[in-house]
Amino acid sequence: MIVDAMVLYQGVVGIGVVSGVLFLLYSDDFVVIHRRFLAIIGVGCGATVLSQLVLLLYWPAGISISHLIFILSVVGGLYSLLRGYPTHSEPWFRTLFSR
Amino acid sequence: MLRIRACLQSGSSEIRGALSIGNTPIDMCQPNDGRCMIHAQLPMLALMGSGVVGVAAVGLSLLAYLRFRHTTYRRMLLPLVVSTALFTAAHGLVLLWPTHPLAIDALEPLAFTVLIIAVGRLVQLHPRISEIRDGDGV
Repeated sequence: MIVDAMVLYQGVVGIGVVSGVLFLLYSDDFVVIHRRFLAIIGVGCGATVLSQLVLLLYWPAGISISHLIFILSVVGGLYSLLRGYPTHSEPWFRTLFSR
Repeated sequence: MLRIRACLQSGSSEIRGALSIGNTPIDMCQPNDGRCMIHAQLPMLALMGSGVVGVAAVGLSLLAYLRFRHTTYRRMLLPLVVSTALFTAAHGLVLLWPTHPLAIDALEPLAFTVLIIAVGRLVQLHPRISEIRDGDGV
């Protein structure tokens, strides 16, 4: 019961994240450094919210699958951000993200 | 978190055995019932996967924070580091501590809350084009 309430709360927060990202991307009032980073996180949060609601209704045991979607989208967004904006002043960056 | 439904054997509707992960009973089914095995194992695999990916997420968000600490993205990336760390800690604890109290389950909504704080800070503090144009912004 409480766990279901937590999932619903996460859904509400996820909708907030998606709307915030949409505002950043499409209000044309922000200098967004890397659009794909925010877009991947927004899409991932939207997919997480949808899959959480679907799983809560039809297969409550599989809720952790939607968490996997969420963290994968975060990793994808961060990787895209780091690959898109290389710096050559830091030695660790060259080691990890060599072209 | 783990509430795996009873997979009933078709025909006799007999549950073969009961296994307990933590305080949640998990009803086991016939070992050769493929669909039932997927139902029982997929959430566990997803939990492990999100733990492993979570470690990568913590590393990448730390790297991104180091990379962008001189820009306005710093304001989003610091809460993002906290969020990924909370998320990973929550999944690791759920995985390694089967009899965890409910407070551990609450770490994950907390990670989402920190994420919305991150996006909110970015919306609030990011330099706006209209302000720069008017000359009172950064």
